[in-house]
Amino acid sequence: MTIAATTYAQLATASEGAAVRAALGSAASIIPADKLRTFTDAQALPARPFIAYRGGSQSGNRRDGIRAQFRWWIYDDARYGYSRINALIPLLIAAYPDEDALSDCYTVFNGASDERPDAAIFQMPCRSLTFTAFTRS
Amino acid sequence: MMTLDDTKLTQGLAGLLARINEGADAGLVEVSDLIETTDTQTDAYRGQSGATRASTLAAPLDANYASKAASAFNVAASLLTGFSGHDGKPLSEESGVTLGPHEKGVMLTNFTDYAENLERDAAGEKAHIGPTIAETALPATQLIAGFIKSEVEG
Repeated sequence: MTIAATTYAQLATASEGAAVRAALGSAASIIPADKLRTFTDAQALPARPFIAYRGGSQSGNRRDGIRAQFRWWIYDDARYGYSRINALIPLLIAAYPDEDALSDCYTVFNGASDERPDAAIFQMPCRSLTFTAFTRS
Repeated sequence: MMTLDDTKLTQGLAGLLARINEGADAGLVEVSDLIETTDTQTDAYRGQSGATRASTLAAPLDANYASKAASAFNVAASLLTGFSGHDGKPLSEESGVTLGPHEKGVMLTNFTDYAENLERDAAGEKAHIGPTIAETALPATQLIAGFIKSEVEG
């Protein structure tokens, strides 16, 4: 599996992501970020809150190991503000323990963005969490 | 009682620290070029006025930073003056980054008021600053380490 596939599956299907899926209410509320642009109206979006995955830059080499950033974006309906988004944050972080959580890489949580609506996605309240995955050399 | 004259030792250590400092400063200049080049070559966003790309600045946070930032801001202002493709404006504001007395750093930024939108809208669809930092972090660290090593080894 690629790093992106591994880190996505950690929330979409792995046991470590079960609490996140339970809080979301549906595994269908976990989507790749590029899918966001396919929704032409807010009602068609996945059940809220939902989370979107975007893989980031990679650096390094096979000898020393690869480091790859990835980011989860958490969205919710405006009427809930950031309360449900903020409640999800510790669950997402807990799904990526610093060491040995994934079979072929380990992850570090880098930080969360501030609270800000996404102007491109129906002004929905949104925050992102950034992680870095490191392959073992 | 035996006394030890450590004057030469402390002088040597002070010299070593000075060389490390000089190596780091030289490395940061090279790293700034690497980061700025990487970010200006991104294909994460297309751009309309060219202001974001042309005002992209990566520079050491030293005494020269303010003048470089002012120049980059002027580039953005020039490209956005009379541009009607969108209502973006040039923007320069405090980063909030403050270095401690023994800290060094490089700032990567650009001077438009929609820079943050590029980083965040549609789940970071057009983000480039964050990815550039992630992409260059390791080679930047290696570059600086190499400059320090060269300086120390003379």
